[in-house]
Amino acid sequence: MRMTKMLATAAFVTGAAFQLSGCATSASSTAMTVAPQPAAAAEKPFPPPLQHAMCVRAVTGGEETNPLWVSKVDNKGFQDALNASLDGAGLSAGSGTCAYSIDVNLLGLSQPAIGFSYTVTSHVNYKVYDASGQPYLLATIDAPYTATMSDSFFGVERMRLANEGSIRASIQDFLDKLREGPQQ
Amino acid sequence: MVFGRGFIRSSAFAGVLWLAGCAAQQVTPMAMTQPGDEQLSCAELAQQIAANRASAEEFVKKDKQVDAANVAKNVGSVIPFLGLALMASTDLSESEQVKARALVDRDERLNDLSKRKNCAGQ
Repeated sequence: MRMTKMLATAAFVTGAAFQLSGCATSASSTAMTVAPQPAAAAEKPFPPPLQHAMCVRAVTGGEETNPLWVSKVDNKGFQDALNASLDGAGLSAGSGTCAYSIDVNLLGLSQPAIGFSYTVTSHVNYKVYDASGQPYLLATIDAPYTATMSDSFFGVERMRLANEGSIRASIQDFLDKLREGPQQ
Repeated sequence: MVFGRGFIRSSAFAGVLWLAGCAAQQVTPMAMTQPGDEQLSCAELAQQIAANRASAEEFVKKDKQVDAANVAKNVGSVIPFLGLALMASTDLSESEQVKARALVDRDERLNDLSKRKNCAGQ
């Protein structure tokens, strides 16, 4: 009887610890990339001066993931995702002249500590400057995304999925703002 | 009875925490641009820049305190049952960090406006 109780307790604690901690992994740049949207591009194209004229100059504020803590988004992952999203949208200057440079400051990720559904909100400042250094667009974007138990049973993985979804939503919002033209 | 009353109570408490979920604290960073920015006088710009800098420093201090508390909670999370409560009370909202960084970027924008208005000599 006492053995059963101890085993049940151990199983509960182990299960909870596994669910809560586990090994956290960094967000994947592929999962944070916004897929090309031909329909949206046809309906509302980007302003012509921006097309094939943008490049990412710097991404700051990201954090490396500590495997014993929670999943985070690092600068390189964010930059790769943004570059790939710009490529897909036909905005990337590629090897051509970069007429509009983008600086990104990841202010932070608001993450929950525990729960069934994890809603992560990313807070990002996007700064787009023209060739003369004048601001073309200065945007502060808060983008929430919820990952549920159906996305993953494991807490650490659910957090990573929520992070990735939140950054993807943020980049999507940024692209939408670019379609509107200069704003500052 | 296989489980004692204490075990059931602790499990129920942990379960409630689990099911309810602890939503991240709502954080609203100051936007880099604000309506009416272009109309600000040099004195108003200088005043806002100074106030933002002071607030940012306060947020950075608070952020360090939250980080230290989180580390302590993380260490304590290995304690059976109580650890769950400690884990649930961990603050991962990065609220202070977000607000501090937003204020620094806001000041960058205000400094740029100040430069364009040739405020330095006034």
